[in-house]
Amino acid sequence: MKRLIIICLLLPLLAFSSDRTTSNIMNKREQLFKQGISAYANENYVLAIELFHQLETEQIVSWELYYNLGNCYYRQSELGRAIQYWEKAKILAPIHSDIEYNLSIAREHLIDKVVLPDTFPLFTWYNTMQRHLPLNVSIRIIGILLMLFVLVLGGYRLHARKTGRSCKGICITIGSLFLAVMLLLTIITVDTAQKRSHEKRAVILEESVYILSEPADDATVLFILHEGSTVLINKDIENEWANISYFDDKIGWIRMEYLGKIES
Amino acid sequence: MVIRRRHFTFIFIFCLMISGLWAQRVTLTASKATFSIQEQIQLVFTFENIKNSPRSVDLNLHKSFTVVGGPYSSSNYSWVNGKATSSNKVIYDVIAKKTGKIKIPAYEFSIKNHVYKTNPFLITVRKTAAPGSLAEGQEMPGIYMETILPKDKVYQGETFTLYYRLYTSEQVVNYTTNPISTMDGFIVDRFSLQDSPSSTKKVINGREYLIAGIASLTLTPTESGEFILPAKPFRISVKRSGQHRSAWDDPFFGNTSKDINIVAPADTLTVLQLPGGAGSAFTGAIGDFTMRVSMDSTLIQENQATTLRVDLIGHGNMEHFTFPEQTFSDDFELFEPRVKNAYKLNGQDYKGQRSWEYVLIPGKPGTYQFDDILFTYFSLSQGSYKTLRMPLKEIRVISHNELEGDYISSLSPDEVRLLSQDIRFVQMGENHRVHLDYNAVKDPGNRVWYYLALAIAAFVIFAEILLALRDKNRNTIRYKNALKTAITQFRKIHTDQSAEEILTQIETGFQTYLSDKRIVPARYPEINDILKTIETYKYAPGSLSHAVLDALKEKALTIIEEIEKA
Repeated sequence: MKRLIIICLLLPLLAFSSDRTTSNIMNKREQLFKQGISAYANENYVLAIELFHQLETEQIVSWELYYNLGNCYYRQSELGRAIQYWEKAKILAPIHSDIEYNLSIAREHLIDKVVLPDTFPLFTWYNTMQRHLPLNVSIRIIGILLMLFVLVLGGYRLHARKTGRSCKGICITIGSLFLAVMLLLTIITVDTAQKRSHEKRAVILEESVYILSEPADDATVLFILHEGSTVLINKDIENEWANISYFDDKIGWIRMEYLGKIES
Repeated sequence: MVIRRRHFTFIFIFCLMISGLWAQRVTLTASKATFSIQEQIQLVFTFENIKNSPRSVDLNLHKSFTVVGGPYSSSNYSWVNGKATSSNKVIYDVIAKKTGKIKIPAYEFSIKNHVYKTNPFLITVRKTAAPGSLAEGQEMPGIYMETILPKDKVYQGETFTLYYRLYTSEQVVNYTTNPISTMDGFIVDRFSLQDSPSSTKKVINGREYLIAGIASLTLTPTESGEFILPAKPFRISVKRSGQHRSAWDDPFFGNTSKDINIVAPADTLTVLQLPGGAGSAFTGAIGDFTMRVSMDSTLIQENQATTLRVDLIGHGNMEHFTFPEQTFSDDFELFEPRVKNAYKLNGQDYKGQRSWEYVLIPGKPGTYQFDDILFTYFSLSQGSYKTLRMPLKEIRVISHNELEGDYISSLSPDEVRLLSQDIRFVQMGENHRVHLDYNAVKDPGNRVWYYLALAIAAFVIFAEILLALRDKNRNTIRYKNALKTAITQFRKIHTDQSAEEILTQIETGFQTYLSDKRIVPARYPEINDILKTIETYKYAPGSLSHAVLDALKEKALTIIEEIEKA
């Protein structure tokens, strides 16, 4: 019994010490982050990159961290890396205007410019939704809609049983509305989540690279891509060679070292 | 007898022919002997009993008259007192060009070896009926027109507009005229008949007139000299006033208006030649203008096109000149300029903008300087030539090699403008940290709402089942809870209540218990006795007291207790 009492007394202390450890880690992280900003402000971009990368190695990340890394690389004239990190930031915060703005400026520097033909407006809207949809927000919205739908349905049943009066019309209208929005959002969210989980994008980091017909240095050069162009990784061989596709129709092989992965 | 009759018939026919020959003649008449210069009259040639009469006549009256209509011809045959007559008429609508006495000459016609001659006569043309020119005692006309010229002298090439103004004291319902499409010595830019002109009222010589500009004519002179702008006839429909309908008028489509032919008088105009010394940058522009010159890019790649745009803004004869020919370096390929017009006739002349776009394609790299863009026009406000001069920026043409690795030079103007901005500043703190392997789908925080929804759904289902069960076993539940219900009912009884109220509550509690327990009172004498006692008290409330009621309550509870025990 005595042991139990001692353990019970020690438990909060342990929790407190764990809390304190976490707090210390966070304080240290915040300090590092601030040092990074300070280095950036003093135009010491190399130091800033080093500090921000230290934070990244702690397995804890944020869109702000990626965004700042993108800025540092941009200042260092490493356009590929800058785009890579801004794209990483965009995955965590798809609708943040600063990221989109910086990316738009970076894209103006790209040498490989592809102008795609206009698509059907509905597809354009769908693609825009997918690009800008924050998954965590949409998942929550679907949950709230589901809850509201259940509330309306349950409220209708209980109200009808209690009072004997039916308010079927209103309940069906409201419920259908929730259900329709929920279904639409669910379709988009599921599709987006699947796409994002399977899609492996990467950015060309070298100024100019040859895309080859097979994973060998002496293979035929199919086309050339320049720094900052975003490609899709179809498959890779022992993390050395990657089979990439550029706008669906151009496929070839490239050494992994020339690529900066967006999705880790 | 037969021979004598034949002679008689021959003589009769001969006489008829002779009599016919005697009546052959040509006459010329005017519809009015005295009229105003604004009026239109008719000259009528009548050919009596002449076969094959001409259908038109060479009037040769252009010095004095303008022919505005005709020749119209009409024929008439009649048989009067056994005598056949025929007449053919050739009619001309004419307007006098000048006032005074005008002699209409004799006209000769040679038809089938016969010469017919009309008599000369004089007609009198009065001055315009404008107020200032009225003779003493002369009445103001009910309706007349004026030709309004903006000025007596214009320059050759200057666009101007004259107006035809109607003065009427009658109610005008419609007006028409033939459009003017050509005029000697002028380009007709537009003849416009106003559909709904604005009008003003004015009293002239004691008579009230409605004044409206019903038509306008925009002209650009192509020659210099003295010109007579010819009179312009109009047909004005006015409403008949104070006229009674006759029995012969069409009851449905009777004409309630009458047409009046009226003429806007001729006027003289002097067209001046432009002064000399205009220079090579003058291409006939007259008016007042400003110039704007722009080039879409001054730093271009070899064989990349750049566009020089010249805008002329102002008013004048914009339709009738072009931009002076421009010369550029031989190293540039030059195309015909693309002209964009955004002007329209507004008031006296054209107003708006004309643009010339020159597409220049450099063949070689280098830095090129161009002559200033010059444009000379004759300023109407200053009465002299004015030259507009706009300098051009030098164009730097760079080779393809120069562009390698240089992003900025390969960008379009819009892109260059965007690059002049900078990326946004770093974020100052981390607001939402996640694990490196963060997956929004797996995040429990995002699932809270689903759990809530599930909980609500479970609650609703549970409540639904519970309520359904309750509904199904209502009688059993009531049976089981009968004692509880009765005790609750009896506990509600307080001493401060009136005797009637207490009695009602005892009755309700007891009856509810019996009903819940499904007991038939007739089978139990004690129960029946209590119920009868309650009934008795209900009809004799005066005998009620709290003590009696307490006893009754106790009795009821005792019976309930006994039933429960049983």
